[in-house]
Amino acid sequence: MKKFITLILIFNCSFCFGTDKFVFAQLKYPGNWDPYPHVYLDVLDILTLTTSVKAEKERKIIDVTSDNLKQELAKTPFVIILGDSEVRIPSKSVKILRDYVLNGGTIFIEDTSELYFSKFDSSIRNFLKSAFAEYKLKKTTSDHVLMKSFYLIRNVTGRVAMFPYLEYIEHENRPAIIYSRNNILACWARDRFGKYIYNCVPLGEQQRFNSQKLFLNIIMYSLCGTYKMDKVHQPFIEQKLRYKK
Amino acid sequence: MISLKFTFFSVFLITILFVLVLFVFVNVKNKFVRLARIVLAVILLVFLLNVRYKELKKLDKVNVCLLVDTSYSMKFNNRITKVNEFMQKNITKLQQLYNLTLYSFDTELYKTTMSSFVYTTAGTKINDVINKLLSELKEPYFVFLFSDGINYAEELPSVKKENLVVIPVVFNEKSFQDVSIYNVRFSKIGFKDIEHEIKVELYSFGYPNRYCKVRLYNLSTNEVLHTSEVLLKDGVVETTLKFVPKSIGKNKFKVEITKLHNEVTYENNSYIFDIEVKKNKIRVLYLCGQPSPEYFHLRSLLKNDPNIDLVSFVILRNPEDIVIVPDEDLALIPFPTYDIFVKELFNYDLVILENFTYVRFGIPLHYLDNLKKFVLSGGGLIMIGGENSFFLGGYKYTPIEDVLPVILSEKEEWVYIDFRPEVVDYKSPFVKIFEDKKENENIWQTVPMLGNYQKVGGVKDDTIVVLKYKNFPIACYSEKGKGRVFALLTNTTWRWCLGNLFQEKYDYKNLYTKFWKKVIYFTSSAEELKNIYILADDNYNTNQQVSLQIISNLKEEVKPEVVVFHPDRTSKFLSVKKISEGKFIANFTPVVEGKYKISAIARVAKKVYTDEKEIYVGDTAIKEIAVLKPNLEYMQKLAEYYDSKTVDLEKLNIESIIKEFKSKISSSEVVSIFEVYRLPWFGIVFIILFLLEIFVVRYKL
Repeated sequence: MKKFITLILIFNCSFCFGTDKFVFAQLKYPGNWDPYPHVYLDVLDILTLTTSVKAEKERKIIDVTSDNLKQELAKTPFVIILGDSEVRIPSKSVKILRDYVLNGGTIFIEDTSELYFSKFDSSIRNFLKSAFAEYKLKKTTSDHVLMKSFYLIRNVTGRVAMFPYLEYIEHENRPAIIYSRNNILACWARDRFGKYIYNCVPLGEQQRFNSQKLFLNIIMYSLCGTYKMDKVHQPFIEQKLRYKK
Repeated sequence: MISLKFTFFSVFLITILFVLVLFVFVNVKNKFVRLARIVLAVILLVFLLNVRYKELKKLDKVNVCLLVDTSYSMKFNNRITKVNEFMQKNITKLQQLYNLTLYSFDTELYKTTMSSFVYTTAGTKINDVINKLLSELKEPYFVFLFSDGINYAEELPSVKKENLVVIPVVFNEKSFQDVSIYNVRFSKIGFKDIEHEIKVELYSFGYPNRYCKVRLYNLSTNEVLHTSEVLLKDGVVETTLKFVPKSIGKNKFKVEITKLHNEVTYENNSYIFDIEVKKNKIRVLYLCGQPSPEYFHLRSLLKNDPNIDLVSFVILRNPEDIVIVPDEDLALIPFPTYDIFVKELFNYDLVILENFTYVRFGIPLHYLDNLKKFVLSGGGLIMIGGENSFFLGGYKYTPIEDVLPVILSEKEEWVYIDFRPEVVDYKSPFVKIFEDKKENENIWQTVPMLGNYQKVGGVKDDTIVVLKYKNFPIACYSEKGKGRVFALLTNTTWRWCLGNLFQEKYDYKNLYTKFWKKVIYFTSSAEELKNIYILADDNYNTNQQVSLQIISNLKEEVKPEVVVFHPDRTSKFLSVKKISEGKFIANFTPVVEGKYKISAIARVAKKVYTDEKEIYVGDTAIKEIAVLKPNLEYMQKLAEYYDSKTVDLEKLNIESIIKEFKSKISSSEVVSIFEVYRLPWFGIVFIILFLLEIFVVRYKL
């Protein structure tokens, strides 16, 4: 009995989403919403091994069509949207996602199609246009906070290096929506033997490592905000960048 | 002698009466009615003209009043001495010749029998005093006003009587020389590190084209803050002094002008005043032990507040974490322990420790002692919960334990559970989101749930709990030394921001912002959220009413006691009146100059809440001596107003003046007045005649 209670407690604890721990939350929508279902395990492993971040071991899946969308989002400060096909978000959920961002939530969107003109891209842009009409998508530069929130990164890459930037919507002086089109998460995907499934082009493993670091930076950003833009860090970062050159 | 009073109204009525009387003689044939109407008209005339009979008596001696200014300005250039010398020389003779009465005055009128006068420290109210005196004196009178004409206002008296002559006696000081501080204009509230301006107006006479230095001192440090050189001219010149306040709180300052040779006095060469220096910005040091949504949201809030200067450090990597890249690829900086806890600590107003343990980073214990000293000397500390906070963060048996409002227990746990915190007292300023009591209760009763809390060993005796869950504090604070410490035993208040999603009636993000801002402003002592405090100006004149407002934030309905400590160290309890909930007033009128201390005390069971305020009384004397040159213009205006002339004290001959103006006033005094119109039988006769007249006319007798 005692063991049973302990098991229940452990089980309960492992589902305490929305606390002080990082939660890998992914938005489920009608369509190919989950091209890399297991990458979160690797991401969380590396994240907790190399940083002081505490993370929930389970992935949280939030259904965009669910009636409980509000309740789910309210406990999740960071949400990922992945896909390569058209994203269909119900209009009532568009309003909820807008409120979510305006009240402090952060969304990372990744177009995994690796196409210049994809259905995913056009549907996402339509969504952003309808939900955030007053905001403009901006492009990151080399000194953007996402390039230095933990690792110092020079180039924006993913499995491919089609777009040398990330796009973002800024709200209250912080990037609130981050949009990548280089298929960053594909760099994490492994087969059952632990081998990376997708090659990174054109720079291979070096590019993979850079892309993985970039994704960790995005996670760190979701927890620390624009912390690395603070004045106190600038001399150190500039010195390191000079040394790297 | 019979006197009549003609007014426009009475003349108008008399005219009507006259017309009516004519009408009587034209239309009425009955002799009795005619007679009755004529008598009625006469009685009415007596009423309308206020007919009175005055009994006059020829005066044996002329009435003379000597009115002597004894205000503070009479001290200078031997003015009061000169008056006394005149009195000594002439008083016996004057008493023999005239019906002599003596008065002295400053802001009040005093009857005296002494012919020797002493100056007081008060100001002058010539017009008020003359009004009062002329109302008191029985005509006819000669009033000799001995004054330098330095008055609190340029206003002339309003009382003027036919048989009263006022003759101003003036001081003709040809060699008068003085430089004085005429006026000092400044804002009583200044901000740290922001330049503050003080405009000084100087009055000078007798030093044209001379340079004079004006210095501004900080009396607490005796430091000269600014010196300015001013070219003097006869009249008023202005200069501006500037300084940058470096320490917060109330500071005493002094403006002083160089002492020049042969000045009438140096008393008016300096002016002391207070300036309350407030924080321009709250400087916050935020140390976070682990990246978290709480850090993300709170940092964003602090960064977006223009009143806050934020320096934050979040531990991104612990010593035990694996490094997979060379150091130059990491955007990390070494944690500047020494700079934070030794070098820079006292430059901050508030330190926030969120889920931060000193143990992991080898921070020596004496650094924590610095943090304790920082709090005791007026700094603010907020500790936010987490696995590395409070007891779990190793703060038991450290100097930090002494200042925390909670008890650190070895049984402490960090519990993950969804719960809604309970407000302990809705009157607490921290939870006041709406003015409306019900709305306020509703928003807190529906607030999004928190996700964890620190199960500490309870709260200390002097702790005030704001939010709780079951019997455990969630938010509480206490005051330690001059500083304040706030403990928040959860790190999931960020849920209140995102909570806006599923509740449409209330804006929980606004609740989050208001709650945190109040916590930060209060803990950094940037905002007065004391339990009880006194509101009053800093400087008052003597005899000017000091109005105090006492604000109480206590939930109990307690009427505070207010005590005034006078400069002579005596004290007096003031009567306190409640004007609304939590607002009380009290007042008193200081009569002597100096520093007064006011204490407001509220007692709730064994706890005593107090606030103290110091006020400085004594401006009047400074104003009185701001311009010491005799105001001959004012005295001349007075003379013109009373159809007399000014006379120089040195040339004053009372007999010749009286002879000159004797023809203007009566030589008899009124012994008694018989007011005919006020006789009661006059009214009775009027009514009887009136009724008789009606009766006769009605029944045609």
